[in-house]
Amino acid sequence: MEGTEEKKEADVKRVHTYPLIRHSDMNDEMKTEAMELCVTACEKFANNNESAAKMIKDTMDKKFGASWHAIVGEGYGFEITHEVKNLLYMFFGGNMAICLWKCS
Amino acid sequence: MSTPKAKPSLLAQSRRSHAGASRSKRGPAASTRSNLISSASKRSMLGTGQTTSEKSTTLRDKVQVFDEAGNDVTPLPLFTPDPNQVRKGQSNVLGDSSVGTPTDLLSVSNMSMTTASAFGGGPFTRSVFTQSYDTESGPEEEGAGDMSSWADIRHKREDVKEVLTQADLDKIVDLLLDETETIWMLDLPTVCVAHDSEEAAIVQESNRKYLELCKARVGNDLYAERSMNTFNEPPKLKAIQTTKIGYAETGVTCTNWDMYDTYTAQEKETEAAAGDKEEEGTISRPTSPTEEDEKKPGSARSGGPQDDSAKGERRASVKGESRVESRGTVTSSVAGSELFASKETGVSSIPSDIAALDEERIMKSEQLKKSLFIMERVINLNTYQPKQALYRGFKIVSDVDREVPNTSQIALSVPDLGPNLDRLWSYVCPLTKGRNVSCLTWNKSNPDLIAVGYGQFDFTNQKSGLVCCWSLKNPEYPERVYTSKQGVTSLDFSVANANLLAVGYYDGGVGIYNVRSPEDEPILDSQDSQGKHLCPVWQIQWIEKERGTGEERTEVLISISTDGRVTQWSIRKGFESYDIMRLKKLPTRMAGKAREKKGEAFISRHAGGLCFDFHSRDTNVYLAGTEEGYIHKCSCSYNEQYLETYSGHNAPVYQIQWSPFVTDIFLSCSADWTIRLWHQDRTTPILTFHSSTKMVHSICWSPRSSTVFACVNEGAVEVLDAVITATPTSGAKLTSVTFGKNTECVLVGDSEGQITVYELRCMPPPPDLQVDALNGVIKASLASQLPSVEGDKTAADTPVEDDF
Repeated sequence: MEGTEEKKEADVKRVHTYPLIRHSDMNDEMKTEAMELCVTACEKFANNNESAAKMIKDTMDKKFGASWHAIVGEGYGFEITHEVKNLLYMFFGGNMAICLWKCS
Repeated sequence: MSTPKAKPSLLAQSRRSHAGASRSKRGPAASTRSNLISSASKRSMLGTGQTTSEKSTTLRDKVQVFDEAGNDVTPLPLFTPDPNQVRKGQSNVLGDSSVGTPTDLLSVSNMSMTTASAFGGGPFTRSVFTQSYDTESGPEEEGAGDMSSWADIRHKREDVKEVLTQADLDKIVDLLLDETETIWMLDLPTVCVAHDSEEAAIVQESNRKYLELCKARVGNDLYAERSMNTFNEPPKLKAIQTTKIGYAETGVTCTNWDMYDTYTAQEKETEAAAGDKEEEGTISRPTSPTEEDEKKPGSARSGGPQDDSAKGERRASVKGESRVESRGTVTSSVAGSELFASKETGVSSIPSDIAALDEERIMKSEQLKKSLFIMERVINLNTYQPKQALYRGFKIVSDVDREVPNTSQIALSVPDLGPNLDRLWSYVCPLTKGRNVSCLTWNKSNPDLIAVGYGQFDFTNQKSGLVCCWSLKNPEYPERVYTSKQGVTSLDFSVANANLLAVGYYDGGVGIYNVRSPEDEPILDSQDSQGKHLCPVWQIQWIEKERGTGEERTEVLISISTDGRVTQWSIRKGFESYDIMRLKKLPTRMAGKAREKKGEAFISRHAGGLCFDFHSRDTNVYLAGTEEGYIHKCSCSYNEQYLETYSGHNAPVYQIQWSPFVTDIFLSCSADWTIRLWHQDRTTPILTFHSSTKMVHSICWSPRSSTVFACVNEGAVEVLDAVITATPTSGAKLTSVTFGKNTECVLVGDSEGQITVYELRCMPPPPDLQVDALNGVIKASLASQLPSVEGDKTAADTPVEDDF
């Protein structure tokens, strides 16, 4: 990629730091809580996605019962089966995608 | 143990030689009880010692230590050999008992083996016993112990004898027995007391006290056995149901580009919304992907300075993304609307539950029933309004559209047809379908309410019965439905209490229903009554009768049945029946005079009654129609004979009715296809109407015109006077007919459970003087009858018509 483009994108990235729920079928209360949890986890483990994912998963397990699965990363593909009303796919920090779902 | 034991026994023997010396030195010690006791207590030891001693004889040359003085200083075992002890004890005993030197005596006895004399001697035993008494021990035990010890010693002696040679025996040996210091190994004073001793009583008393004390002691070791069982709690099953957890599959590839695009798209949206501030709560909308897709290629293209590979990659990713996106939406839509429409379903699902609850509550409420009831009537009113208006005799003010053809048609048809019947509607519902209408009766106080009985006339195919109360306001469904096991054959509403409905059944029962309550139970039933009819109750009627002398009138129920009885039912505590007439069989007309004299052998002495009608003025007089074809005029005063018998019908008389205008005239219909008009003073019919070749089931005088009546035969309803005939469209047989009380309508019941309402149209107006009109007809017919008694239908009917 060209430098200018990259720079522009980087600028934009910096702007896009707020969490954005790309897709979710959770009810509002749960969604808000899960989103806040993801933000907290990603901010706490800014450079360790694994820990962030672990934290998200553990906390969700405690709050909403087993078994939650979380993916934190910048680029990945997934195909999952989840329990209805227990899926959250959100972006955060401009380059972080968090996928959180329940399937026991 | 054997070796140490063996040694002492040997030692004892070897020491015998020194014993005498030692004894002489110390002098004979006074024999002590304790010695004896110790010896006695050690007898068990002796026993063992003695057995081993035999073996130990071989060990004679055992090492012995002697000092300079020649004394045996061989270390003695701590355990003093018993045989010595015993022997010493014995010697002591002997010494005590005998006056002479005990040692000598003993030695003599020992060596010379004068066993018999020594042991058998009385003094020995005696002395032993006396001694033992002093020691306060049980005599028997002591004695036995002594004896055994004696025996031990004897054995010992025999051993010695074996060992010793003859030379040894011959040799004179000096034995000096000396008493060693008494060593007490165990001192166990006996606590036994003889029963006959002085202390025995005291000891026994103390023993008893002790036992009691033991028993009384708190926390003693007396264990009481007690069993205990824990309860087995009954197991319970508990099932819990959760809502089904639904699963959905989703898949997406997340990339930085996707994130970027989403953010950009969202920003665009927010810009577009302009002030419509949506924060992070924005969720992807179904529209966004497409928008995004549209935008993306454009922006990529406008992006310009990208090398081809990068461009291609991006496009590919975009395409892939869009594909994924679309698939996501598809799956979501397939998986149920939850994915995107989660909010809506989440919200709407709760009200639906509440609605279901609400619905249940509403469905069960009385209010709803009432509302439905009113609504049903409103709808029926809407449907039947014009016809009901006709029923009431009002002119129809119908729609303008309809009026044109209707009026023209009526204008054309009515005059052409003359008097005719117009079918208005039918009282029919699925409940009554296929049931035979057996009887009709109007409610006396509410002329819009008709009760209809359903029941088969045939004996062979009896069905359950039904009574329906139909209201004019709802021809679609009866107001009241009463079911019964037997077919209903007759009905009548009470006059005094308009809510009471008497019902006669095919099995002879009579019941009374209260039509105020919708309960499907008769308030009175004659099933258990003694006077119950044995055959179908063909007619039932409430009659107001004068009671004795006073003005008071009471209402009684009269029923007639094929068993030949006319029964009066009065209601006090339940039913009370009283037969006011037993219909007797008359000799048949066919029978000749000869037979009459002889008398006929009847199978049944009673004639089956089918119908009756009370005279409107004189409630004591009534007419009863029988299966034979006779009509009997009876009085309540006589229950055996008839006042009059009218013969004319050749088949069962189905219905009789007094004219409502002229009190002497009555009409009857029969299975012989005819309807006859009678005057009560004439035993032959005045007029005979013979319209078809079918049984006439029912007749009814018109309440409006004195000369009009309706009848139904199996195929048609006829209103005579102006002969109008209506034929039912279906193959149903008509069974009953009645005139509306407040209307120009005729109601006709048929065998298919339908009651059809016909409007009488274009009827001639009733004559001014009704009574005179009918009388005129009768006079005319009587006049014409003079030449021929029986006029057929045309002959009889035409003059009637002509008269009006």
